[in-house]
Amino acid sequence: MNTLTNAPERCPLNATFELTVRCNLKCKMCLFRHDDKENAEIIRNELTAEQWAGFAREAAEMGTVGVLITGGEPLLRPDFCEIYESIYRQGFMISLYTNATLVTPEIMELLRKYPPHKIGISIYGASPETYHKVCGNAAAFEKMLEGSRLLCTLPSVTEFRTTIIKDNFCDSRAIEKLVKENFGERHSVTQTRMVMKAVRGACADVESCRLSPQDNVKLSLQKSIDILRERIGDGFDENNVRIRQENLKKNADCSSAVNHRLSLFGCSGGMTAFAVTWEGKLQACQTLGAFSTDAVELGLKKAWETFPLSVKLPEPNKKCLNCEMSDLCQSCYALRYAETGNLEDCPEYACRDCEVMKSFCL
Amino acid sequence: MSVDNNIRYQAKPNYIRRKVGGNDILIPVAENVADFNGFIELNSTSAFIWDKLATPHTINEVADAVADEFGADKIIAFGDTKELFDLMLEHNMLVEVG
Repeated sequence: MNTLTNAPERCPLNATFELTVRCNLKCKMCLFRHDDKENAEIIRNELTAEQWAGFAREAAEMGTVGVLITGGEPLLRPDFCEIYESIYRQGFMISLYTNATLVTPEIMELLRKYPPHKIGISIYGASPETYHKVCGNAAAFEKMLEGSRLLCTLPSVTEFRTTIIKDNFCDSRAIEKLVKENFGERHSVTQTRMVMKAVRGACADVESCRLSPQDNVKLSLQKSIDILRERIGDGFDENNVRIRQENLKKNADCSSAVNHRLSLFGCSGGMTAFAVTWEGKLQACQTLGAFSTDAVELGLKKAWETFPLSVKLPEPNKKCLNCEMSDLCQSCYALRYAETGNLEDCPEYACRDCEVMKSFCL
Repeated sequence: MSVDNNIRYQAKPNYIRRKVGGNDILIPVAENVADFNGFIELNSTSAFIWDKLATPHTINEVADAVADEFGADKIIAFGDTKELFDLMLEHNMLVEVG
């Protein structure tokens, strides 16, 4: 049996606390939201406010610095204020992800007293019509604007985040414009690079609504192309745009990585980061549900310590291992598992995305 | 704003002191969340001074305590303490208590 003698030390610096997978919106591409029919069962199994407070205490003792509070929609929990305050008071760098449609005076009072270090506001359209198409709720558009205006009065860093699918593709520039007009030029919109299939029993039919790889790549280059168009003027032809691909692996200073730098999944998941799901499972990240330990049964510390023992990875497939587009590839174990249902298969959507991106490269 | 030798200063309550991986850190909270792009790492001397400032003290009282704690020369201890006080005042981390 081979043993790892030089494995890097694991340290749980960053945590994701997924308070619920329920949401008041029904976004077509949501990775995590379950069908509303399951809500009663989900509520029965969600961790209690005391359990979250206990996990926060343990995480502080374990040396966790950053905590992302997310969902589903975390503000949907009636005990959100109690949970939030108990986490905050442990002294973490707090990020809060919300769709900003459920910001009440009570929540604002709490956030004014304990402002998160960062707030991520998801925005899925620039009009009620688009919100209706993407989230099944036209009125949510105004509520999002109203809530965002309130959240922007806090001293927190605010990040607007969007996911573009077929139904809001034509709004992608309008969303950016709306954010700048309403919340100031300093705000930009972060866009999900690749929309993966729903995970852990979530109900969204992502395949039917996400962009074609052609449109997805075009979208990821859109901001750069817009800047070029503005600078070059009339003679600009976007069909002539080519990207120079830097060989990051070759150019990177690998001196510190030579000594057999190892990780569980090739990322920070399970090494310096972890997620606790709504029902108390500890995972490497919020998306990869293939491996977990039970933080309710074991306690958070023990669940973190024993997590690597739950990880059993197959040999990587030869196609991916020898792929000349690996530098461009967006896939990771979580994406592969979401897309194919197992950890070793090649995620076709990501492959096609790579091929399109490659066609733009010199 | 520079340090006044006759004024007693106290650490603002808007920081949570943590021990992370053996290191002493301060997490800015409340209205201070946006003051620092991250957390503040304290060395052993600054951690000692921060803890001392949980209650109001003048700079001379703190510098004397630093000299005693670390066996340092009083003049050097005062210089180092003043440097940290200036930095903390510049970043609005202290309140004047009188």
